[in-house]
Amino acid sequence: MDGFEVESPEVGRDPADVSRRFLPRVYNFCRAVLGSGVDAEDACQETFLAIARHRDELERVARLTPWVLTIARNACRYQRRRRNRASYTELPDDVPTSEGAPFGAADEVAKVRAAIERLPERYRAVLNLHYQQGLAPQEAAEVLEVSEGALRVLLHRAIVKLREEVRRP
Amino acid sequence: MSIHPGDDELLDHALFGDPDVAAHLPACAECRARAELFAEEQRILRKAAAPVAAPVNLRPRPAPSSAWKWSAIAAMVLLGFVSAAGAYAFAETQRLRGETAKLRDQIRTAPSRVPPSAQLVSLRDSFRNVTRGLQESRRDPNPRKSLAELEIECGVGYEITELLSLMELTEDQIERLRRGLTVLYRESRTAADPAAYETKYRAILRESLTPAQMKEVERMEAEQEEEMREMEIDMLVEELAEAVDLPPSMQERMRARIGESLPRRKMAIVSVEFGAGALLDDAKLSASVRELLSPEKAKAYDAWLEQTRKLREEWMKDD
Repeated sequence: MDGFEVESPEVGRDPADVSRRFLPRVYNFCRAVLGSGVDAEDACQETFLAIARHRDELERVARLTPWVLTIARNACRYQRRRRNRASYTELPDDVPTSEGAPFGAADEVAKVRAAIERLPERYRAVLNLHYQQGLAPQEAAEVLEVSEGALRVLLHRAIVKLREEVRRP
Repeated sequence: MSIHPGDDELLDHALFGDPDVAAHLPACAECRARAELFAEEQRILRKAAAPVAAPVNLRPRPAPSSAWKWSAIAAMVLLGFVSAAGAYAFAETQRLRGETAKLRDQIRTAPSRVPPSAQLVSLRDSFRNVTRGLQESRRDPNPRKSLAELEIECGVGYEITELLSLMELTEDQIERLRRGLTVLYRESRTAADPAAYETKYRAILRESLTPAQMKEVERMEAEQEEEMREMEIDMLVEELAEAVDLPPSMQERMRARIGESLPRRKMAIVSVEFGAGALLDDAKLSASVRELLSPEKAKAYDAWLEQTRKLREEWMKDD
């Protein structure tokens, strides 16, 4: 399996049920954003509590995935503030300068995965939402609280930056 | 698309689908082969994004029941009261100790009059003026005019507060700054000449501040200029992207082009207009931006710029 399945429209709206079903998605997203499994677990629990607190809203939202991941994003922010430190060393959050060629079969998946983990947080988040969570640009933009245009630019930059990182000796 | 797409356009196509590139590919074997490399990259990225299993012990904890929640709140409130009482007692002891020490120091040294915080006085005055202005604007037959005055008052108040966050100012200095900046703001609404504005602004600061204070202002401005420039470029690119529908790769090229061509501004020149204002005022910058666009997008750019020009003229007329 590459990423998560597209959310089924017949998803029930019981908070406990939603939390259970979204657990793998939320855990993987939080792990991508925070870069640490332990922090991701805490952020997951925060997310599930927030889902329970927003039971009324949960009944009304049209698409659950962006809604749940927006909550998870906020939980990650909270978790990050609480730790008040980056849990690992990440690259400076600058704009990549050159396009570079696409990486290909010679670049192993494991190498690409390791390079993603070293990217700045917002690049990791956008790559996760696009490739793993399978969100449409508009939905991913909603989660990251940016315009759809900005989201597209962010994704484009993330890939260019990733190429740099994959090729780094 | 008659010319071959660049790497960035192929990446756009692989990510979101680009109709121009899609139309070009069936007729061009070379570009098809290049596009396949980008498609392969996307496949690798999707594989790299395969989810990992969540830890087996990670289960959503049940939300606390409301009874438990209220008991917790009650306990927190009680704890809060106890802590606050302790903190108050401690703070009061410290304050009395501090006051005694201060009194002792004052007896030792010559007493001097301590004016109220200049920052608070400035804010209070601005607030009073704005409140008075708002009341007047409700009675005014031409409320737009009095609202323009209010805008000036707010702008001047903000400028002085900014200076006060950097340095101590005397009441006399604040008054001189307020008078000078108010006149300058009024003038700049009708005659927008950035160079003259900059000169006058500097003159007002020099007349009101000491050389050391002036140096501090310049140091702060130098720090912020680069940041403001980046923001201005971002705004311009965002507006352009929306107006002529630029794909991400083109936005990146546009950002680099504007970065090369946009003249550096001094902090004093307050941008009071649309992000596109720089393109309207700087024909060279506008031409260099237009040069990057395809004929179709260049047409859309011209139309948008014309519309923006009209909007700005109307806006200036209203004032």
